[in-house]
Amino acid sequence: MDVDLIFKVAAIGIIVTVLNQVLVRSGREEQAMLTTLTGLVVVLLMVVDVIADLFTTVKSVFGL
Amino acid sequence: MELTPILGICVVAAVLATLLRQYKGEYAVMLVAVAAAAVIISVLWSAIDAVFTLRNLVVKTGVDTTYFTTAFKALGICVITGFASDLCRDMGQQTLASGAELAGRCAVFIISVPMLVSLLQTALKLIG
Repeated sequence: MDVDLIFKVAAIGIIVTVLNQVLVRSGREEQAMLTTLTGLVVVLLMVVDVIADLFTTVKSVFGL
Repeated sequence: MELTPILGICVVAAVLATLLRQYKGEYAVMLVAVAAAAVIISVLWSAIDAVFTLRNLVVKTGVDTTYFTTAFKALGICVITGFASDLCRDMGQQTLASGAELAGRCAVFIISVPMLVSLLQTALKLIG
């Protein structure tokens, strides 16, 4: 039961939001865009990992 | 894996998702995807021994188990397809959701074709 993964995703989301605001306020819009992008890629890799885990579990349980 | 932790996790993930939706929508959806996948995984792991006892029972009865395994495969496909299409619907993509559902239905149909064939053959044998 990987509960900490859920909180990791939430934490990354909040951190990226704060960083984005700070960078935008200080006039660096491009870096804000880049931080959002990297945060998105990191979280997406985690999501893909968990969904692949889900599919293998379903395959093994139902004998697909 | 009792029930209460799973329910608690669903509610907490929903609250976190609403929090994240205000600022960055994509993180809310990914958080929901991770939470739903974790819940389904833990439910399936706790159901796996019940599944195997059921399978042994069916094998013991001596009935031909191909129909049982086909039904079970269809169940697995429904679980995955439901997960994917509901996730797409959550993100507001109705078309992708219906595309996923169509793919799931076709997969179930393809699996059930040999079953239909053997059913017709037995019927013809009875008539012929």
